[in-house]
Amino acid sequence: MKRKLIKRLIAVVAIPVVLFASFKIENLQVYQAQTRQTTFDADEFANRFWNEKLAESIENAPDADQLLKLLNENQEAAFRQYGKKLGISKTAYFTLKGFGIIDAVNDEFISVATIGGNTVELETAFIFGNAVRDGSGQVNIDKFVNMTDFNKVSIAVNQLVRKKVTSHLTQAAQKGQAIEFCGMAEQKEDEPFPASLRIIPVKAIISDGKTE
Amino acid sequence: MNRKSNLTKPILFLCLLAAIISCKTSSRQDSQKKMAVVISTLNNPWFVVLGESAAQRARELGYEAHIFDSQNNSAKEAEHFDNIIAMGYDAILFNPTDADGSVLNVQRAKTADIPTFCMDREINSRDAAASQLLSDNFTGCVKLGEYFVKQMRQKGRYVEILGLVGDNNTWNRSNGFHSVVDEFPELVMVAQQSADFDRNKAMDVMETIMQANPEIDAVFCGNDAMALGAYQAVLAAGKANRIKVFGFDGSDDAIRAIADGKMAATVMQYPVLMARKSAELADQLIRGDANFSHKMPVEVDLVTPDNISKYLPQTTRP
Repeated sequence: MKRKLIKRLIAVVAIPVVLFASFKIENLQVYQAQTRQTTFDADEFANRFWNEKLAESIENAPDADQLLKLLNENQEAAFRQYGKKLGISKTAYFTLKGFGIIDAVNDEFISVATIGGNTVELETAFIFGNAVRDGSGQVNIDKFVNMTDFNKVSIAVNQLVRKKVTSHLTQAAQKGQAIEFCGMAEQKEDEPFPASLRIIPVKAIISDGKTE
Repeated sequence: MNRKSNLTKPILFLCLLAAIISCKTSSRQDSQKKMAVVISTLNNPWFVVLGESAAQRARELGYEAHIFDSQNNSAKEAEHFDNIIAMGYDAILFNPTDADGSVLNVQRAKTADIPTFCMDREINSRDAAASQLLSDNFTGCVKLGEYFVKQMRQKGRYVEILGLVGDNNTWNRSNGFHSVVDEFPELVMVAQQSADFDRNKAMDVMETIMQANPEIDAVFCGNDAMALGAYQAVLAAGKANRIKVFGFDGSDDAIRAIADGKMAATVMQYPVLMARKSAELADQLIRGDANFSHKMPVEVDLVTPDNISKYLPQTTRP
């Protein structure tokens, strides 16, 4: 009788303990937010992009004066031949390179008069968005689990532009210097072509010998 | 003679069987193909437009189309997928309830040879869906962030009101905005809180935040409904002239609010375009052409007082 009672008592205590230990109660939103964290390392991806892929884009980039001439004369052909678009969009990104003389330096950009008589502006403050990632044509969206990771690449690549290019450029650039540059620009199909194209620089060599 | 009559019965049986099979096959070929449109919630006009536009385009392309309302409930969504798979639909145009939780449903449909096209909301998978057509929230908020920085003259105190924390769109918008604004150290975020994309919740959240932080210069909200809710709180506090309100969506109310000087800016999304294109891609795939990307961002546009005339009334660009 006594044994039975002890067994029942143990059962009454043990069963709820086992059941309680089997469950873990968490806030659903907190859990979802935590599980959404992926292991994607955007900085590592951006570094590989910068060191291994970007050179190919620079190598294949059209001359700035040649592209600007085509954009002015036949925008459709310029978009078709050199523009890179993502998804459903009227905006195309272009990689272009060229030579020129710095004719102005301000807080937001460095203005360059190209040897072909055009003016381009190398961004030094507003280094944002996807121009470098998408203009390079080297990053395939289908390889990413989600847009969050894909967009982190742009953030990390833009940080590299600030660190490796514009931080040095803003310090060294002076009016009258010769400059060799390569960068990415964006243009919308239905917007008028600007008098001077804004370019996010990924490479800039100025005549004082400092190379970025 | 006897042998002949013995063979007659099996031959007749085989002929009958062949006739039944051929009848069944031809009726399957002739029957109208079907697309299912599964929407996270029909309690929000934005998603109603998305769902109805997808269904309408599917019908225009010659399909039978049915809309399923998941009521923001993942269990309900799974139930819809069970029925859709059992009923042999040819494609699913899908607006998921959860980026992670909905992957399994899409995977089950794929296993049953039913392609799924995600619209507006993303699932965390490279290839479960045939394609995902998503507003380019990140880029839209980069543009909005740049405009925000210029309007604020690179300094001030601001609030961010987030949408649903389990939705990738919430974070893509927030990340795009912060990828710009965080580069300006004199722009200080005094509070960041979720209001689940809900207008009334946003009004309550903004009221509470303003009590704790009386000196606020701007509020960035993850959608226009929350922006309009925040504006109501700002107006009630008598700070409408001081606090700039920024939203996302391009809803008719927000466009009018910008035209009236109540809101500073929003980002225009194109749900009709997204929905129609999803139906067209599903049709393309059913016809045997799978030549498209698994992820397709759809461009969005910054709307400010400078270009508001382009957006009155609402358009379906680009």
